[in-house]
Amino acid sequence: MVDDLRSDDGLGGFEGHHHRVSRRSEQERPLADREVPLGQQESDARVLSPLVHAWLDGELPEAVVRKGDTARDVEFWKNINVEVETRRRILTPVFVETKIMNALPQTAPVVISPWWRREFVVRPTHALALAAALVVAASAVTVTLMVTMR
Amino acid sequence: MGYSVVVKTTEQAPRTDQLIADPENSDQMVIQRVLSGNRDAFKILISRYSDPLYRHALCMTGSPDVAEDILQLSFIKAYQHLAEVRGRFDAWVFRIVANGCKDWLKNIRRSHLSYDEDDQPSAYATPDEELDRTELRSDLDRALATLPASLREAFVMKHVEGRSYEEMADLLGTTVGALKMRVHRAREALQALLEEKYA
Repeated sequence: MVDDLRSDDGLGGFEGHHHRVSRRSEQERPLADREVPLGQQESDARVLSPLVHAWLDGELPEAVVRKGDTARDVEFWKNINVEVETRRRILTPVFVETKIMNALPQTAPVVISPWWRREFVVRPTHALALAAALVVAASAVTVTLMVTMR
Repeated sequence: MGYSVVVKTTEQAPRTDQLIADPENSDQMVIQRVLSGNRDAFKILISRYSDPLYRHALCMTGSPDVAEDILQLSFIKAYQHLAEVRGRFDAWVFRIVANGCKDWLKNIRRSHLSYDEDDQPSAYATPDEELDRTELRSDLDRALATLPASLREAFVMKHVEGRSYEEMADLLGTTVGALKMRVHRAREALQALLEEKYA
């Protein structure tokens, strides 16, 4: 549980908050601190002491938190942590790898991009042929228009 | 429904970090080999990243079958779009799996999640202790299932996967502050649900 020793975005201002913060003080926090609207079951949740969060985030040693009201929280989370550690050891069933390999397409993956993003290569012979075709087409259109105008 | 936990021994394969450290087996090199037609090389990427991805899918969905399906579909999608990988492959494929989980959660609402670990040797001293643990496991699953997907995801990434907030922010494209808030709220919600029984 104490696995994030790199976190530097700490829970500032927890000094002296050795007791649980009330729901009222939670509600008084600026709106910007709340990321999404509170859900149904969260209305029943109580606010954990910032000390407990800091301990769970690996920012404080257990001894600091295991005092006063937070001792009960520490016991609870140590209990949960045993179960969480079990989940951390779960590995992919061995047959899944083979199953995935069998399900892959047989062909190599290709870049699927729209035609306007694809590379457009113009060779000199193609450019000359295109220019000649344009001249012929323009001449044909001009002749057709002249005939029509008469 | 039961989890089937497979415990691999260290002799089965070289460690992931050893493989990645080898320039010949870096993700980018493996991707190049796959793109040049070596389909089997993709197996290296599956072996390298399937465990954390499977754990994420399993904890998010609560179902081993669904987790396997999401993992399979995600790797197929990754294979098909392998030429579009920019940056880290592991972060890219994680986002595919995470989105797969969230899509599944949007469509399915599950009220009860539980698993057992028939294949795992017991780590507990007495049958009573093991019984307590099984009960806690089920209760924790049920409590996790009541959390909104974003809170569950943050809790799983932090506590089960052991990621730092910075890593989570990088993977999810959000801020450390927002993720701390999600994890804190998930903890408080879980404790409110479970503390009467387990405190």
